[in-house]
Amino acid sequence: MNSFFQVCKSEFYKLRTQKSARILSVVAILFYPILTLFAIFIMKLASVMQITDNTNGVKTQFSELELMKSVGWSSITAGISVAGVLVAIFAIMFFSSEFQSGSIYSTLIATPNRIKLYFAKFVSLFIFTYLIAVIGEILAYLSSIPFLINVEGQNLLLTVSSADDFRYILGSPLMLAFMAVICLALGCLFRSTSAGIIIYFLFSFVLSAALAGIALSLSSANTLLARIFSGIQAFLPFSGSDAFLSNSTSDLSSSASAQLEYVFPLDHLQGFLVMLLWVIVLTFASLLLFEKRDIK
Amino acid sequence: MLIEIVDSVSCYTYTMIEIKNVSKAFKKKKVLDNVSFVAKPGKVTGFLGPNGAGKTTTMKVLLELIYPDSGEAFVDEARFSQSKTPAKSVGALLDGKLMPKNRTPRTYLISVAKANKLDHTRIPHVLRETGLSHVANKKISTFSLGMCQRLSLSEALLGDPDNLILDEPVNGLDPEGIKWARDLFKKKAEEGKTVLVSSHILSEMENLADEIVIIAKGKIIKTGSLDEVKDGYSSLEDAFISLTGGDAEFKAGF
Repeated sequence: MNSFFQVCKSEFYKLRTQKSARILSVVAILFYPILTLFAIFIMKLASVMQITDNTNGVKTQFSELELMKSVGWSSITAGISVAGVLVAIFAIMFFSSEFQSGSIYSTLIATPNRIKLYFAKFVSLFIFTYLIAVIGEILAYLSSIPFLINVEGQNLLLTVSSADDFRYILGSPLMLAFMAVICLALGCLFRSTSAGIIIYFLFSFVLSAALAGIALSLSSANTLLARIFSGIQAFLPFSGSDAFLSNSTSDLSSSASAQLEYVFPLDHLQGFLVMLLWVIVLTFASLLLFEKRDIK
Repeated sequence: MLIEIVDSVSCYTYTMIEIKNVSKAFKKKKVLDNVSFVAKPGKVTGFLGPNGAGKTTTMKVLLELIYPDSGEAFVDEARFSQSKTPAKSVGALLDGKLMPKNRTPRTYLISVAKANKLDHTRIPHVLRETGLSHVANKKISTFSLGMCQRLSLSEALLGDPDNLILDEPVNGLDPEGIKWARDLFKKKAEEGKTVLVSSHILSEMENLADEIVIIAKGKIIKTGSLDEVKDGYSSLEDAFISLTGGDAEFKAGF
């Protein structure tokens, strides 16, 4: 019986036995502890340096305890910035490589129901990337223990005490999984790895930076236009993820950039909804095309 | 005894592979024009035609990889995508070269078996049957065309399907492999399965096929038993060339 569960098992098996996916996922996992240790290293470095205020020339030296307290769950989940890129590449390849190698024929002969096949890929990739992020976070947390367990006599080990902590711990893997299924849709829409990767980079880096730059340059002359460009930038797929995983809303609203008139800030929920909307729209579009187009 | 006879007769009475009035155009170029034929169970049906005649497109329509503009294609009296057990219903070989190169035969066949909840113990069996046991854990990227064809056949045979749809299955096979493939297809037909095979090698088809379907320029120009098609000609090759009117694509340049 060719049930949905069986097709999911098959697609999950393909993912975990594909060498490129294995390598990219291991590297993605490793970036979590690497970036956490890097954050800790920066704090340690800052604690032995004196920081001079240029306005009045006063030299300040922060204590290690004070600096290390700023290592929070956001540092543990910082790996998503690099893991996101790696996951995006193998998520695009997960579909596009089948079209490019022609093995999509065999896949569709084994599972001729295209909707079932698409959602099986969707679910298996979602679970796979969620697990990557969770394993990465666990490793990052473990790697922080030796540095936080005793800082100037105090235990600074991270604990889960607020909703924000949960947002980082559970939300970060969710955003990574969202990114992955968005990229799966790109791979299916374009049927080409290179085209999918170009579109991904265009959306996540080039377009975002260009729109922010345009908004900034227009901010003094025309605030309305600047707000429009800033608004478009805020609604790009991966801006939603950034907004969802940004520091707390209070930090966001008081930050220098948010006080600028042209900036269009999203709160966490809005960021989540923007990301979810992109997942739904792109999944629907790629599913529609996958179902209707010939596989020549 | 009587029940067995009735059962064996009834399984031969309904059509296994049927194409009904299928037409298809790519960018206004008609590649299939009202194609209809039936491949019967217990027989090897040879599907012949010059290059570009529409053989592969017809097979892709059967497998719902390509949607027809009009007409219908059925396997076991239903559309292939509606099959509850695709691997048990159809085993197909379209192009041996189109394999996931970064996998091994074993992992590749496991993924197919998982999708269809097939018994994994069939995998060593089909690999042995196709002569690939010794390379079960080697990367497909290192395979020759003949080995890829054998692997495609392994995949097609994995679910022990009732219908085999094979596009140029002996391409790249050595003479020993061709004989092995011929015997295999005949054996499958003798077991009551429907075998639809396309090929350019007419002498091979003469040794293999019970029924013949000839297509040219997207139209079916002759169907019938091998003897009926050959009737009045010295060989299948003569009949083919006469019926297609030398329509082979390569002749267009002369």
